[in-house]
Amino acid sequence: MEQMLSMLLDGAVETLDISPDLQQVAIERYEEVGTWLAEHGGYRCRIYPQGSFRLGTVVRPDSSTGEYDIDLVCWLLIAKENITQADLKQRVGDLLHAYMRWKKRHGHTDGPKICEARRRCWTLAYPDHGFHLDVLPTIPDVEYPPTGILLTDKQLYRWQHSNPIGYANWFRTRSEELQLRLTEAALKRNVNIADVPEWEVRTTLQRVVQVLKWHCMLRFARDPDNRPLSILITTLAARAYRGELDLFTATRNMLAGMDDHIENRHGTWWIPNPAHEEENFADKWNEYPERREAFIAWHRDITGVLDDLVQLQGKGLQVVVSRMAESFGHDAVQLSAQQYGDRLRRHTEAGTLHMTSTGLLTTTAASAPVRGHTFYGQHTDPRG
Amino acid sequence: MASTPTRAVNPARQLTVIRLVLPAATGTVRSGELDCVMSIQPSPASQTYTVRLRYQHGRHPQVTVIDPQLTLHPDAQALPHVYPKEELCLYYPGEWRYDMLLATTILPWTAEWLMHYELWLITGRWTGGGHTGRSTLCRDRRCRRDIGRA
Repeated sequence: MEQMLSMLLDGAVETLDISPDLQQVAIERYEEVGTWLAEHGGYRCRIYPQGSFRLGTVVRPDSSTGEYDIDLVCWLLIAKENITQADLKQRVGDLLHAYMRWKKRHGHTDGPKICEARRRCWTLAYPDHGFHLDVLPTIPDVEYPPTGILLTDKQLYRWQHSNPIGYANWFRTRSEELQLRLTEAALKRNVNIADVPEWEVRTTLQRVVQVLKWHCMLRFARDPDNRPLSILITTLAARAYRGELDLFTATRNMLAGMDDHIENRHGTWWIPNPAHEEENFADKWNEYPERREAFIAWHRDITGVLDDLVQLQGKGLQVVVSRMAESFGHDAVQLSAQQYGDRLRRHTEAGTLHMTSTGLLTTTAASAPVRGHTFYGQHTDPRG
Repeated sequence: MASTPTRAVNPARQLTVIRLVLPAATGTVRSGELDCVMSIQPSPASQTYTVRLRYQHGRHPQVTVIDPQLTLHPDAQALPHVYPKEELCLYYPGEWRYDMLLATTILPWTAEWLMHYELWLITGRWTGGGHTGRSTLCRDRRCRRDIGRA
């Protein structure tokens, strides 16, 4: 049953994942921005992805535009003593605008259509492709070398510590499957494993994070302020992961284990950033207790849904799928069910479908293979 | 029975093999006719269906679902891939022959039909492939477009 639920969930999440083609376009676009900045910017600088795009845990936002957010770090080699926060933000903005003008001057039509300031970052919009790049201005954090960075806070007043590369490295250590897949990719391309990014593969850990984030996004569609942070869910999930390969089982176990990783330090709720112990992903819980309550309510909901699904064993695939669709979105789950049927048919055609002694169809057991055939009808006298 | 191919499998042997494949199947052979009832649960999520298989030596096997009663997708007016009297259409003429074992053809094909039926109840789209003389899905053109887009 778990295997079947995994297949349905996996298929649903796959429809929300960024397609390899779109991922490639996004990479080409930001690499071009990075190359241009390096050549024309007058600073030593780098652009690299962070967050869910880097980790390979992207899900399509359930918004009216449905555009993928791709978070990037724009790293300028400037000492913090030599620049203010407002200056850093402005300099990156000026560079990005200069890049846009350069693209237009050279007749390039594939550049960003808009470059606008958000609170912490600059957004380059590529509406034709359905994604935008959020470029976060940063400088090196010399206290946390080599990957620590400093970014501006929302008021452009204090420096915030961050370490997206360190976080991704930690995420990688949480899953042997992920390390194995990255090693395979490295061998195939004859490069160092450190040069294979997480986003190139999809493993159970990444899929679970996508499932959790997607459920959370739908659950808080009308209450976005209280929606648990993706980084918080990702961190708790990865900490609770014990190497399960089955998606459904892994998701249930990880939900059950999350509580063990929420600390209370002398009355303060605390979920440390694994790449930067002083950063508390739960700091807002202390300021706004309703956000912690929202997390608990979400956790209870999704745990309940997964329990329900197991209880529906033997009630009919249509009943199971309806329940799943209530919580994980009608379109995604329906499409997954359809793909499941298509896969089943391909197994029949390939002669890899078998039937067990209770009539169960399986693609693994060494039972009677199902001979190729064609459903036929409705005819009044079809067999004549 | 002179026209029956020499390698045809007689109903008694068919029943023996059916019981080997599905040990819980019950049935009789009377006057050359096999009448067999069995439970099939095509997937762990699926319901358990009680299926009746009748087969007269030299004729075509007939499969019906006794329990639970088959239902329709909300947008459909008829079941896909059935003959009159809700007899399941499992194969294209010529794909089943008298020398084949029902247990390794008709039975798994029935399990597959049931699986695609449950998926059809959700999606309104038959994923089992096959041929139909006319559309078996929703006949409401507007609705069909919706299904196509999903």
